[in-house]
Amino acid sequence: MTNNKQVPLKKGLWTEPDADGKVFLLASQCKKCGELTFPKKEQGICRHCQNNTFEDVKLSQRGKIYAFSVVQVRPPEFYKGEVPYALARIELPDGIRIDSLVADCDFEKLQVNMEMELVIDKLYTDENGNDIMTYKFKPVGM
Amino acid sequence: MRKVMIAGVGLTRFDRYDGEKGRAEKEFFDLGSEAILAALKDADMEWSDIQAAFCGSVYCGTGAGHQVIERVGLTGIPIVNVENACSSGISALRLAFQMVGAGIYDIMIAVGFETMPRGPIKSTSWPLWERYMGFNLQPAQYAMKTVRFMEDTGATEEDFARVSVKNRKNATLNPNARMQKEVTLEEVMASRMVAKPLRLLHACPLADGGSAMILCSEDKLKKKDKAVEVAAATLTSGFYSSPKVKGADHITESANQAFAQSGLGPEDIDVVQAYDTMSPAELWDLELLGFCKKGDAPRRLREGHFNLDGSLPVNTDGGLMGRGHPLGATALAQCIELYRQIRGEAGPRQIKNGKAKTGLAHAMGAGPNSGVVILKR
Repeated sequence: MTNNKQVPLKKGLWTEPDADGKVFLLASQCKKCGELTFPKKEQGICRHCQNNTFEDVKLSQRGKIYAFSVVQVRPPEFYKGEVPYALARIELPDGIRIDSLVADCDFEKLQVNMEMELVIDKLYTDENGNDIMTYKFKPVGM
Repeated sequence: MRKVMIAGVGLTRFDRYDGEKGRAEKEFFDLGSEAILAALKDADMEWSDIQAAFCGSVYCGTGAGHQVIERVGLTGIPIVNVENACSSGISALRLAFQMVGAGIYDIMIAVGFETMPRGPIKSTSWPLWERYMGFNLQPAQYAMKTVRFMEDTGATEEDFARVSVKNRKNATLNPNARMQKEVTLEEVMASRMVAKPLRLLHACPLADGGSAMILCSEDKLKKKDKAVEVAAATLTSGFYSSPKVKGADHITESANQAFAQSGLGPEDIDVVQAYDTMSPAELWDLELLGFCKKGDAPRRLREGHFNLDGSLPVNTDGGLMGRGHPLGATALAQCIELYRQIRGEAGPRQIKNGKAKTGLAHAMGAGPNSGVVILKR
């Protein structure tokens, strides 16, 4: 572990750790139709029913791989993490699919329907020595 | 709506116009204006006949269409630049189709052109934080769709390789295509992995190029033999969908609208230009457009149905895979290939000895957008 200051990639993607140290991804739930939006909306209207009232909800920490890819090339700009890296579309039992990076693991073992769990992990270290943190998913028990 | 006819078409070769390795050096305004001049010649018209223009491009900057047309003539006509990602060209064509159909103009031109920046596409259609997460790589997004397609239908990486082999073979019969060499199934399967399960030869090459199509009312047509009509031109964007709410598919919807507009069905179409930006996309495209049942496209491909001599030839000019992909120019090039096939002027890649009467082109892209054009004789 380094002593680098940890800075979230974007505020409001996940909750502060609770008493047990657990964190949750935060979504907005439409008060009318119940559909979820991630990341949570600060304002605006529901993309499904156009209602304009929401409440923040914590999403399940576990879900299943709906689709994934192991990427062997560096994206053209912005991404400063490791290559190869793995992307996964995680279907959560709450009724939403979320795109995520996959935390370091044996990417060759990834497959559709694999059980995954949320982790908060370093994305990269910036030029000021801060660790930029983000949410990722990793295979349960791997 | 009155009938809208194609008066003439123009197309440059799709290539890298970077001045390297013996290649010519050209800018987008050179390529766009070349295509316009070729279309005027084909239509037997003068620039002064053109009453308005829609110009599709993505990476050419502000007022790109004006720069193109400045090289052809300054006649004060309205010029509107259309940026709609990979559907820019088909969006420009649709707008011209509606204007002429509604009787607002009698003769319009739709132009598409692009000189592509080098390297992977720097797409801005993701929020910044998602770009930091590495989500903004098109092959990775396509790879996720592909994994899901394989899971849902049993399609294999070899099936996708067969699309590349077919389209690269067709491209060798098209002097305007960027890629002029066939590839084998083994070469595709051995090419380097880009985003699992997609390899380099599953991906269309980018290119530079220009394309143009002049549309007019029936009475303004000068080249009257074998006249081709635009029977439909549609455009959709995304529908809300989640694991709980099953939204319509924007590709299927754009096709259904085009079939309704033209009064034709999938069974009436003789030739298809599908959207093979990544080779598996051609397969799910054919299913989503209504040409085969879900999961059936790989089998029909293996049986040769989509070959030049098959029951439904697909991407006869090489598609994006063989022709190359200059974003703004691509969709009009697809439509130009249909026009040539329907007129029986496709040379060595001509299908059905010139007896094709109808064709459908599909272009889609970031947004999402999905545009369908149906041409008929």
